[in-house]
Amino acid sequence: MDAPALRNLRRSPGAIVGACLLGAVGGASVASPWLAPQPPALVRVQDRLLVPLAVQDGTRHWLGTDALGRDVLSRLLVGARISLFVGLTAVAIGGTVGTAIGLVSGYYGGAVDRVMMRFGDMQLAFPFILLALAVMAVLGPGLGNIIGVLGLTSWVTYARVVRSEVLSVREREYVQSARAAGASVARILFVHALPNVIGTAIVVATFSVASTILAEAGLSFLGLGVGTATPTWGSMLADAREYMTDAWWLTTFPGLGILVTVLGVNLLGDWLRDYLDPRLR
Amino acid sequence: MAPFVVRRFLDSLTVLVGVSFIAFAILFLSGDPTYLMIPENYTRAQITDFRHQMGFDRPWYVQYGDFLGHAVRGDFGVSLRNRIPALPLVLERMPATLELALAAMALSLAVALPLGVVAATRRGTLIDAASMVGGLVGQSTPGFWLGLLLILFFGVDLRWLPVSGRGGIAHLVLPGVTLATYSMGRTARVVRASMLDALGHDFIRTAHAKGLSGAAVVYRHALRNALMPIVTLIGLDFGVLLGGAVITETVFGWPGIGRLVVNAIYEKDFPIVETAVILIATVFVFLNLCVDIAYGYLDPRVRYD
Repeated sequence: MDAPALRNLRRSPGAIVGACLLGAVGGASVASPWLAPQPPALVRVQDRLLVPLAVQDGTRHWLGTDALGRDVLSRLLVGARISLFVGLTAVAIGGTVGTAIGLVSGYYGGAVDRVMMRFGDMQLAFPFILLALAVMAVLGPGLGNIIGVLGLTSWVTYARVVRSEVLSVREREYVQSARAAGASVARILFVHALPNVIGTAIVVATFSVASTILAEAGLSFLGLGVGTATPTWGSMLADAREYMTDAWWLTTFPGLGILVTVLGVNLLGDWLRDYLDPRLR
Repeated sequence: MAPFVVRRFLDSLTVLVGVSFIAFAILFLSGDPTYLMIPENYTRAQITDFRHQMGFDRPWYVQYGDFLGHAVRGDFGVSLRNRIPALPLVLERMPATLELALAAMALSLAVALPLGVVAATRRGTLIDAASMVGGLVGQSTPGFWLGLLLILFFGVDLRWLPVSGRGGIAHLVLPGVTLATYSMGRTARVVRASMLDALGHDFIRTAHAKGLSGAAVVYRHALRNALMPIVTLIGLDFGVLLGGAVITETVFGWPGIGRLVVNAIYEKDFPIVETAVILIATVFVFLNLCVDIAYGYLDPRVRYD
């Protein structure tokens, strides 16, 4: 990030809060092997459902333990890694595929454009979570599957936004003259069109990280996400349902984790939109 | 106007054929349903016979053509679990899902419209900041978590409201609030942005200058001009609500399509999943068709030709 961007960031209170929230979640997830008081999978049935702050055998369980006596804080930290990893990689896939399709579709127009856009319409006709649910039901739970599904179901937004930008960029004089000078299509797309649309794509991507994290949590909650072996915030909430009335901490903390992360992303996204592309407001 | 409606309608039909293909592809890729349908002691010859009888041994395009041919006549196959035709089984659940989605939509608009308008007219005040932060938090809260917290607080601790099943208005409150929260936050933010845009026009200054009351300027002049993006969002939001209903219905044991789909997925009853997906997509496509047509009436500047 360049200096003017940082200066602008410091003037926006929302962006500062967002950066702090994300920084905390990101930092905690990176440092989770050192921060976690216990291995996240360590089962100690004799320590089941300990309340937050309880000390047992010299270990302080800051956020309590679950029904199998596993330390909630340790599992939350691993969950943060999964959420951020799925959110970022899925968006990278969807963003790359969608931007590429948008570039080609907008530049060539005609039949290619019509087919791609109609295909996008079809995909948008499904409520996103329903499509993801149906595909996950066929593929089965798994980290790779969920990243693939969430990535490939999100290309349409990028494709549409990038396409409309390319449509106008295509007619500008500098693109016309580059074409007249014999520049290849790849050169025109990557050197002349892409820099003009990348800001918009980044803004879409930021908000998409937020919705992807929410979708992953929802699918994991239904048991169709990463799978039961890995602790994720969604699956922790699914497990917590059974003990909801006895152990409020099992329901409260994973949800707070999701809320804080998504809120951080959205706050940063708001600022980024105003900074990079005020027209999207 | 009429040619536009016809063209838009044909577009919607093409999209629905595509939807049916995607739904079919998902079902087809899920594998041969034979083994879910036959008794375990069938011999190899009996299995071959059965597959032939059911048509599972034909190439995919023949099966898709067959599926589409039956689907347009309202035949979506039978549930693999209990051998009941899939369409009536899914249709039966439709009113419950629509009731929940409409309640959430009404609640979301009832809160978001005034909130967005007030935030825009009092830009920069504490009310503006508070409602926009509230909107962003609403947009960032996972619905199913909010649902669990509401159950815990209003259902278990206070015992004010029922936490499961469908019944009167009281049953609708908690799932409705849960489902509405996301779109409430999003709509409030769009209403504010759209109102700010409308309030910046010259005709607003003219309206003020000719001595109209503040309320008349805001509601008759600004809000009307701010409606377009809001109506678009409502159409799109309905899809979000129908999708969100899948999880909300599971949390609250609401007997709608969402819960039916989730259970069908657990039981690998794919004809039900396929039928439900196609029906929900149909409702959504039809609704957005209505939104497009409504533009012409809401905004005479939009010309269809």
